[in-house]
Amino acid sequence: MTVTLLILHGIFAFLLLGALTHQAVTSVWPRKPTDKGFIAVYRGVHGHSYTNAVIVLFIITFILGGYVYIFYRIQVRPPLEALLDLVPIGVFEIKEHFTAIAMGMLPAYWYYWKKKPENKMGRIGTTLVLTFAVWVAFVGGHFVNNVRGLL
Amino acid sequence: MNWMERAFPAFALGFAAYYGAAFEFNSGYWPAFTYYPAVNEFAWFFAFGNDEVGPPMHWYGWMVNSTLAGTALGALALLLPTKIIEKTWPVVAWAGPLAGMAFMIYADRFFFF
Repeated sequence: MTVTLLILHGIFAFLLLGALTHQAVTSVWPRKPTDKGFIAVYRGVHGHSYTNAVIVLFIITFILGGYVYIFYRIQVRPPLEALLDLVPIGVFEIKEHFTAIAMGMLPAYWYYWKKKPENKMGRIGTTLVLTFAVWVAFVGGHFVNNVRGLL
Repeated sequence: MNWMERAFPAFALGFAAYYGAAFEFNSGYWPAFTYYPAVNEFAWFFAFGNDEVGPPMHWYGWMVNSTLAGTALGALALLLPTKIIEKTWPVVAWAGPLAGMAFMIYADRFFFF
């Protein structure tokens, strides 16, 4: 059950990471009409259309992660503490904090994309910080998962 | 709904600020509750773990209180003149949480050094 939930958490995180990264790239580096090629097509999407998907994916990933966290606290962290292997614990702590703070940003992110899209500072700023937090959480989660697998 | 939406950027700041403070000063009322996953029990506010109940989890309690703090700051922000909100919140909405994340790295530095 835990493994199934962890895999689902990973799949939703993967989808979230893709959507958010795509939206961030197209916000910061939008396609010009003369640009051609694969990267230009990647930059050419409408970032606006990703907003609701990002929010839904973030919430689903967050809920799954929040549930799996219980098993981490009981089954994963104690052996790491016993071995004084503190780096994976620290990485998980950072992941936990970043995703929590990013969760608090979601209403503002929605606001700047859906209600004030003309406000570039708010729209791009919230998107980049969310993207950064999700990347850190994604890589950190994989790192901790792999470390536990090696124990 | 329109008037309420203007509170969202301030919510992000209030949430991040409370979360960072709750982690740093974790005791007393900072978490709304403590959860003991090993025995599936709850205690109000901050509580320690022991051999009987196992390790404590304060994170869920921080989340609840951070939401309340964000809501309170958002409500206060609605009292500010629209001009100030339009000018400052687009930066505060992401710079506040980013500062919160930087602070969390600093607060967790002992895991790495």
